[in-house]
Amino acid sequence: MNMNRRCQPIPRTEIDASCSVPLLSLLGGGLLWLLIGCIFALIASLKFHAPHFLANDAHWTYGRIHAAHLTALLYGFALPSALGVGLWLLCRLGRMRLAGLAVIFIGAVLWNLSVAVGVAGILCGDGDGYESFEMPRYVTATLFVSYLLIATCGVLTFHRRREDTLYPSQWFVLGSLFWFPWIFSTASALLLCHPARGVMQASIAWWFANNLSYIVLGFTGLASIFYFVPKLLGRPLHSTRLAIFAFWGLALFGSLGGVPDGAPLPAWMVSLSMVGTVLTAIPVLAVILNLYQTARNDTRALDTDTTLRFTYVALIFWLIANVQRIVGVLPDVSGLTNYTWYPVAQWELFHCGFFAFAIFGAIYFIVPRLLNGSDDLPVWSPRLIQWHFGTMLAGVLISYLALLVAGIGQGYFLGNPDYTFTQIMTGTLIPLRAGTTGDLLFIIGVIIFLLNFALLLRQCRHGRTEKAVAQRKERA
Amino acid sequence: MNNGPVVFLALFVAMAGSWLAFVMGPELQIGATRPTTSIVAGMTDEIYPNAKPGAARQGAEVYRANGCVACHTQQVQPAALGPDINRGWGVRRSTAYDYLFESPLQLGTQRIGPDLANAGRRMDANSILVRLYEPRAITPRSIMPPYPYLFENHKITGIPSPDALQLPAGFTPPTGCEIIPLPEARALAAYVTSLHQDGYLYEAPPPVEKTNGPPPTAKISPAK
Amino acid sequence: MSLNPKRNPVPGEPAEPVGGDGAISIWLIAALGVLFCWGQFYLGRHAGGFERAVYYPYRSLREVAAANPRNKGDRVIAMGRDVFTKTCSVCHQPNGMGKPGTAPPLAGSEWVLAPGPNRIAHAILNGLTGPIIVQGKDWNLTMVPWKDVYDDEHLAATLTYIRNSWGNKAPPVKPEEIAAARKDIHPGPETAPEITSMPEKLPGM
Repeated sequence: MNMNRRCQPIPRTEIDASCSVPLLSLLGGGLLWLLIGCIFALIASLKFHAPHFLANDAHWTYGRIHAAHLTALLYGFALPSALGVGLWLLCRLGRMRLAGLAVIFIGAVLWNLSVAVGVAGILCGDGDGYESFEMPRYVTATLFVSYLLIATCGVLTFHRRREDTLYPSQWFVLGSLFWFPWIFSTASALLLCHPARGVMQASIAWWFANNLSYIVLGFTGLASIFYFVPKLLGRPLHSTRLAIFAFWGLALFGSLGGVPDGAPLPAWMVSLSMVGTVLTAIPVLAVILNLYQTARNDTRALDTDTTLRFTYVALIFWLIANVQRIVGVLPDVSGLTNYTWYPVAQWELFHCGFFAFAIFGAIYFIVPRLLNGSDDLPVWSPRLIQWHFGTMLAGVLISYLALLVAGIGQGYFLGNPDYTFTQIMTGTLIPLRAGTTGDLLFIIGVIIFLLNFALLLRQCRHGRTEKAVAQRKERA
Repeated sequence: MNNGPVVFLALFVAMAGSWLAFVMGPELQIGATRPTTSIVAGMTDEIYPNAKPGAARQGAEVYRANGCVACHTQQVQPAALGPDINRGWGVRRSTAYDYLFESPLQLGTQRIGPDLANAGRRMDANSILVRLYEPRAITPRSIMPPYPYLFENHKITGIPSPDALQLPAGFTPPTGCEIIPLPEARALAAYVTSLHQDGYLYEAPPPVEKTNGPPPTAKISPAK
Repeated sequence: MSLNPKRNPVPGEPAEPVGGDGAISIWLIAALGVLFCWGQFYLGRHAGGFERAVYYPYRSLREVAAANPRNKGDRVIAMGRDVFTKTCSVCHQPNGMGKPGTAPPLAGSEWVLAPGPNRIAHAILNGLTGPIIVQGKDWNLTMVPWKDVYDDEHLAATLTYIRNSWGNKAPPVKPEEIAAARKDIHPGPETAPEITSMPEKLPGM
């Protein structure tokens, strides 16, 4: 191991060139699934306003479309993007080429195929019924294997690193690479292969969903944020010790969570989950303080650097989602907000707000470098970036606020038995209309990004990068 | 924090903590739960819960396949934490015993539709079937989607089928046609009517009424 | 392998980030300590001793035991409530107020409140059909017999529960009284005139 450290670090252009095909397959596939997932989300959301919309065919009924949308977003977009960005971070921070390129590519293809089969299966009625884990049984094995293939290459890359000092992003990425196989195999085994008895299934499903979102995806988003903020500002991260403190706090306390307060489980499980969630307040604060101290007094970067803009927004969304989560588990509040639109708003803010923005910020930085060397980068269209940022931000905010209002209203009126259930639900349709608009804006944002991506590819293909154009002009 | 194996070990410990708390620990504690005799055991030997009848078990699969869990929960929260009991969705909170025979467990986390834990006590099979075919036939402003593919619409040949749905005016099929529930619809109705959580449990006793309202005013003055 | 951020092998892209050596604020550690203590305290009070039988809102096995019926009278009421909720409430409604076209009310019903339970014992055993006046209103429905579904203990407990709920106050019903009523074999449901002709209380009860 020491031998590696004595070698010279690999130059960045070489690292990026090495990762190009596998990471593009992971990230590209992820973006397509994001589009598909968002379209499903829009269809599901339209069904509230027109229940007869696409209701005649079993494949498009709300229950299946909703499950398909969650699956496409989590397993189609979120996890592969997390892997793609995570692997790139490990390479760059370890100053080492990515290991096992062919294996990662095979893993990515296998993963995407499995997700496609899984989503089709859900639409055909094979969904499991466990939220965040609707994958039919027949694809869980291939999903697990493909993730392991990719994660193993990541760990190998880390093992062969040529940089001694670990940077916080690396711990976060390793954490998520390690966590997912454990939670996924446990959930597959105890929910699908050999189902646990009764309410144990609920406990395992909630544990899985909580760890998938807040640890696996949350850690990758944080890794990206911790990497880009200091780097693009040209300053060191304010405090490594504070990052250690935050990392262990989130790992220990954040993983204990996810059980709703009214759940049919003994009091100790509900209380433990609540205490764990509340205790994450301190590590969350530590992360914010650390990054705030790093970025303090810097005035220039916000309107010039795309990645930084997306990353800051992602961080703010992460903070709000965590605050909402902590407030939502307090017994006085949870009586109002349990099983309403409130946790849905939180889910949406975390995944479509924090995680998507963090990944897009990373993609805007990484993809040009994967396509072409760092000295001849293709350039994104600035106008499309603005449009993308604007529509996506508007979409997330409108959707989130609409669902939050709907959730709190729903909870409040449900507490009054004079209102019939139907009255309350038709009342929430008004904010839900705004929510549907938000979903539409989000899809438009994704399409604008894909357009920008296509233009970028065209630049590379036709040699229209800045340097190439300049060289041609010189020769002419 | 610069040593890879140390980081991994520490991650393992942190991960193991939550795994023990929410997977292994509960499995050891409540994983062995078996049907219990009612709280008034000693006077009776009723067992709770009972396994579901066959049609209901098939219905659970239809429930899962159509994603009913996306809109409906099946858990009654305690009175202190939710409006469930107040709304008549149950007489007591749900506990681990209530789900011993549920597989897959479809607890749900969203109440876009009402809670179904005690649906079997509120609805009969016929009203469930009508509601599946066209929810707005029963609740005019319902946002529940219809499930017409669980039914077949065919011409009446000879006498009308006794299984045909009795739909209210405005929702009846064209004259000469009748709506017959398919086996999936029947199974689903059997499943929903099998849902009830009112066995008396030690863990969730209804509040003990010490007095039954204020004592009646004495009409006869006490003898001196 | 220098970590010098100023050394930038590729112009245009900043160097890889490095960790700084800022200190952790003591206030943050103190806050964690305080919150951790709160957490332990909360678990001590609300985790029910990590027992499997303690569910919110109870906080210990002792509270659960206290909430359950502890004497015979309470157990009878509990059993009666159990049967009523599962069976009778479907028609007579959980609040005992009945429903037009379904079942007459039990709350405040003169039939339920009669001092001797013989008449309602017959009604519950053999069923009741035909016109009957309850609280001044006419009802004409049919109640099925329950003599083959529940034993004397259950039926006595149910009647006791009905006679002591929703403002009703009447003496409890003993299983022996149900057993005596059961001895009257009746081919079908009773009618109001038939049970009116019976004594309210059988001799010797």
